Amino acid sequence: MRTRSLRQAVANAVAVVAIIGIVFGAVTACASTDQDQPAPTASDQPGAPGGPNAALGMGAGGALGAAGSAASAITALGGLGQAQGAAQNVRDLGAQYSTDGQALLDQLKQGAGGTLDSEPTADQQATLADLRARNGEQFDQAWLRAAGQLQQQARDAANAVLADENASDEAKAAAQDALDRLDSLTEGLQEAAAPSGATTPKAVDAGSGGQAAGDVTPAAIVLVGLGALLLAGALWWRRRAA
Amino acid sequence: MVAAPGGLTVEAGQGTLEFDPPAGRGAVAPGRHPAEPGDGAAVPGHGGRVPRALVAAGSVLLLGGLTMLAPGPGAVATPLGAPEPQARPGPDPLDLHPGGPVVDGELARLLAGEAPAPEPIRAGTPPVELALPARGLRAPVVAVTTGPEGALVVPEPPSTVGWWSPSALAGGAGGTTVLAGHVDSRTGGLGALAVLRHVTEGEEVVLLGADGRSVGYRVTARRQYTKAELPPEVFAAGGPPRLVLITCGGAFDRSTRHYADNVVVFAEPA
Repeated sequence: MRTRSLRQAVANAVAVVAIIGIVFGAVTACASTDQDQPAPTASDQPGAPGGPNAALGMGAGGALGAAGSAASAITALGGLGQAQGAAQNVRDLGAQYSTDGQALLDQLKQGAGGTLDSEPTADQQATLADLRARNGEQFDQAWLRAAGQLQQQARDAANAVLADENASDEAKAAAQDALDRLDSLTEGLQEAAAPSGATTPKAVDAGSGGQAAGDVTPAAIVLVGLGALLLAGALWWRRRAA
Repeated sequence: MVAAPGGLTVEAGQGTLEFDPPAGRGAVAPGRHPAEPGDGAAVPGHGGRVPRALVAAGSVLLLGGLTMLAPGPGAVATPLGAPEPQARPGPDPLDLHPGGPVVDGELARLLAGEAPAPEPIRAGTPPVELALPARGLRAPVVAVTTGPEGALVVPEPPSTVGWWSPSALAGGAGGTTVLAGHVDSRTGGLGALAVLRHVTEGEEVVLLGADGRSVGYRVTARRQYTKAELPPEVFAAGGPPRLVLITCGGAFDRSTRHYADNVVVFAEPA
């Protein structure tokens, strides 16, 4: 009688422990319910003053206008780099951006027949305001990043002009010239960005202790081990009884 | 003795529980009587104490396990070395923006009879402290960059949080401000951003700027990504102002001492 009671009790205990272990194991493996959801982009946010199209001015002045805004912002950015750059390469790049940005703007105005709304967009002005509030290495890092951002915006706008069937031949020629000029700026920018630590991070390794995971994993391991031990004990008991 | 379903019987007067297996299962070995002297069943109460003790132990384990699994209020990781949370002083009657992040001085101009100036573009400030008031967390913030290998340099000790300085200043008119910190480290224990695993939507986050300005944010989302799939959009330049907090999470590989995932919290200006 005692043998049967103990056997049954051990079996029940094994079942309980095994269930806990399974649950722990499942939770350890699937730690979060919000895994792999897409990142909310900045333009997804309600009340956002602009998304990619707004930044490029597609809605207002069309692709040529967006290219003009980007060229104007690049010119202003160049001036800031010359004036506030801490490193020589940033000041040199600033001078180049200032000259090339103005030349780009003149080309685009010519391509547009002399009338082109070339004010930087609100988004570009916010970027320039951020830079004005910095100095030293932090200025250089943010300047290099902003240069890449504005250059990409100008490139996107120029490509949009080339793809526009309604764009004039003059406008398309100006856009092609703009792309060529932007290509010449890219190399210098890439050479300067990596050593300054301004490139977009490819990874964030922010944990080496395991304590944060320790609230689940070791407990699950212990419970599973205990369950297996009890199961083996129960089998041994049954064989002994038989 | 009262029979119960499943073969469970309750023996009146003795208060013992016995499990009577169905016929064909748990058969007693030939030649052995169920109540054979020497097997212990004849001892009053002995057969019931052991299962009761095991059931009790099992219940404790179950309750303990469920408690550990429950998404509780979160482990508040007040970092070592960080200043203790202090009661903030009462509102300053001369403060025209109590609790507000930005003081532009436009009201002062109006009071002086001057014409309102065109609204300047709001400039930001480098963050120097991160606070999650609901969790009693305050952590110092230092500027960090991208390392030579392409990974974001996360500061030590883990009680310190890094501001990726190429990202936007706090409280500016646009751009993403990116902060990252260790969830834990081998020598430093739990990190300041260990709380990110428990942060919920709507929670308040405050950045203290180098100019003394407080910039408030509200959490809009928490995401967990496999490290290799951390979307570059979290570092996006331009766009409206927002705050991104990054740490590690998910399964921990003890051989490589790395976590499998990144936990990312997104917040908008309050």
